[in-house]
Amino acid sequence: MLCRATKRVISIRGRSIIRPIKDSALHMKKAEFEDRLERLHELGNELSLAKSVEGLCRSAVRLGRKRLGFDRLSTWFVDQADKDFIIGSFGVDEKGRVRQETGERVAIDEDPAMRQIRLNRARSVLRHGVPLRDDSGAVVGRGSHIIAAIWNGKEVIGYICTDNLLRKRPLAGEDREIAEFFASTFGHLYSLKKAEESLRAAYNKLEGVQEQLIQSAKAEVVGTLASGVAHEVKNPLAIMLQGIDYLSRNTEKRNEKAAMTLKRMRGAVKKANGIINGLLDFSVFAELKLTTRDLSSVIKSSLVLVKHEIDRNRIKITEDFGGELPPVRIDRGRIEQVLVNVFLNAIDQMPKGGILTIRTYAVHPPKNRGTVVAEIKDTGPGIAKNILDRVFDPFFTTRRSSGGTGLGLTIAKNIMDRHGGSIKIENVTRRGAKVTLKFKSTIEGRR
Amino acid sequence: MRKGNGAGDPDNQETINVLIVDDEKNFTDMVKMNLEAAGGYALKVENTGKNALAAAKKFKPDLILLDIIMPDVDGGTVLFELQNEKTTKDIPVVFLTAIVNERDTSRIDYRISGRPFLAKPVTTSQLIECIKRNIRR
Repeated sequence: MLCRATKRVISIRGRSIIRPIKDSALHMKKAEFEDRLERLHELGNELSLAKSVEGLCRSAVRLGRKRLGFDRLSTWFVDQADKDFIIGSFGVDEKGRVRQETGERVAIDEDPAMRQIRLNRARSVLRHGVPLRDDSGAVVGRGSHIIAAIWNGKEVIGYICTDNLLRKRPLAGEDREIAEFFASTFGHLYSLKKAEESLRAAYNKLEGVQEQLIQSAKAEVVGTLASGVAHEVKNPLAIMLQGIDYLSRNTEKRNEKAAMTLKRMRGAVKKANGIINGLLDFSVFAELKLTTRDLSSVIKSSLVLVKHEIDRNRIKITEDFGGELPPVRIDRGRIEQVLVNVFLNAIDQMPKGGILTIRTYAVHPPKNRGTVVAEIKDTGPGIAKNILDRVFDPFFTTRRSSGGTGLGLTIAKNIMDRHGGSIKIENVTRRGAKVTLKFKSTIEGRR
Repeated sequence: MRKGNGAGDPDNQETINVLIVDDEKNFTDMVKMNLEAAGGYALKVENTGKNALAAAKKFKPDLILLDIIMPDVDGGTVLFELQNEKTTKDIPVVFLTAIVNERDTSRIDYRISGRPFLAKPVTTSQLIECIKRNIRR
């Protein structure tokens, strides 16, 4: 490798020839080269700290230019969808500013140096007197440039490009050496960061799946218990209710205390039955009866069901129903149950009034079935961070003393899951909490 | 339906004969008491699934209230037996069960084995309304 640094390019009458560098000059060149190698080593360590592939590419261009004495510098990657093309990453413009160039895509064969690397499987190419271009492809000067291949194993995955447009410093063999080393170091780090990112994405996905499994397992346990518990509890409740009916008919109407007692007993049976009904929502008998509906109209009818609570708490409703939404296949009763639950939670968060904002819109990803989204926002205090990931847990409630069973949101999630949709709860930046319900649209996106 | 003249039938209207099959004796006794007190109903109680068919053949009810989960023979099997017997196959059956919600029962298109059902706990007035709606005319 070092042999190239012991020679220099001399231009005689327009022809480039290579001559050995004289001793003193050679010594200086060697010292300078070693210094650059040392800086490259340090640069490699610094770049290894990048937290993402994007961060690595940006730092490589910024620091590579600064530490290694390169002029304009850019990184390009082979388009994995069509390997005849390369896609820009980061680069330095004509004013020396680092810029993201991800929108640029050019054919490899358009650049003779890249074509040469591709054909000869070369590590780099140094060319002199070539036209140097800006982002738009316009020629902005003439000079030397180096293209160094970024390898991943036996495959070229990209290119590091540098030229001398800005400072006009002649590029020589040692620059090519440094560019090669730099591309090699960058290639290793790039592969590493890519692997890290994939690993992180897989880990996050795994965590999400694990969380879903835990939620499903909890829901399944509740579901399994539900039928059994319902049967064992509802039968005694049925006897009690029949008994209350009997006593009501056979108690003197003038006996107010007896009438009040029976009324309270009836209320207690009703409450206990309500809890059991909540459990039953998990059971196999609670099948979905799907019909095609307009989500906005289901939301409107659900709002009517909680109108009393809304008025009582002096809550203002802001509606933003996004035009004509694609229809959704839902079990209207169940989705009303979800919406009422979400509305009541939001109302609960605003005992002294507030604004309940309801927004619906559709998302149409190309070639995929679209999504119809409903967002429900309140202006309450929001949800404490330490309980945010527990709100869907069965029996988890912050309102146990006021009769909360901790099943409302668990059931809501269960219902949304069974619709192939989702429910998400988060705090909004300024104030309050936001619930996002996503439903599969019956219509596919634009092709 | 036949002419009745029992207790709770002062106007001598037609008495509706109901067979209730449920393993919860306390419950069936209460239902019998309340419906008969309401007037116009004669109830036969059967607390085992295995004897339900025989009771239906003998009593010839206008409607059967049938529990689903019973320790010996479940309601589904009883229904199958009733449907396979010439003298009982046309008797209306309403499932009376503790494993569904009231909300499910309010959906008119919802059936268990093609039959309507009532969710326990149920009030006497709900029972009467359901019997009237489903009785063989």
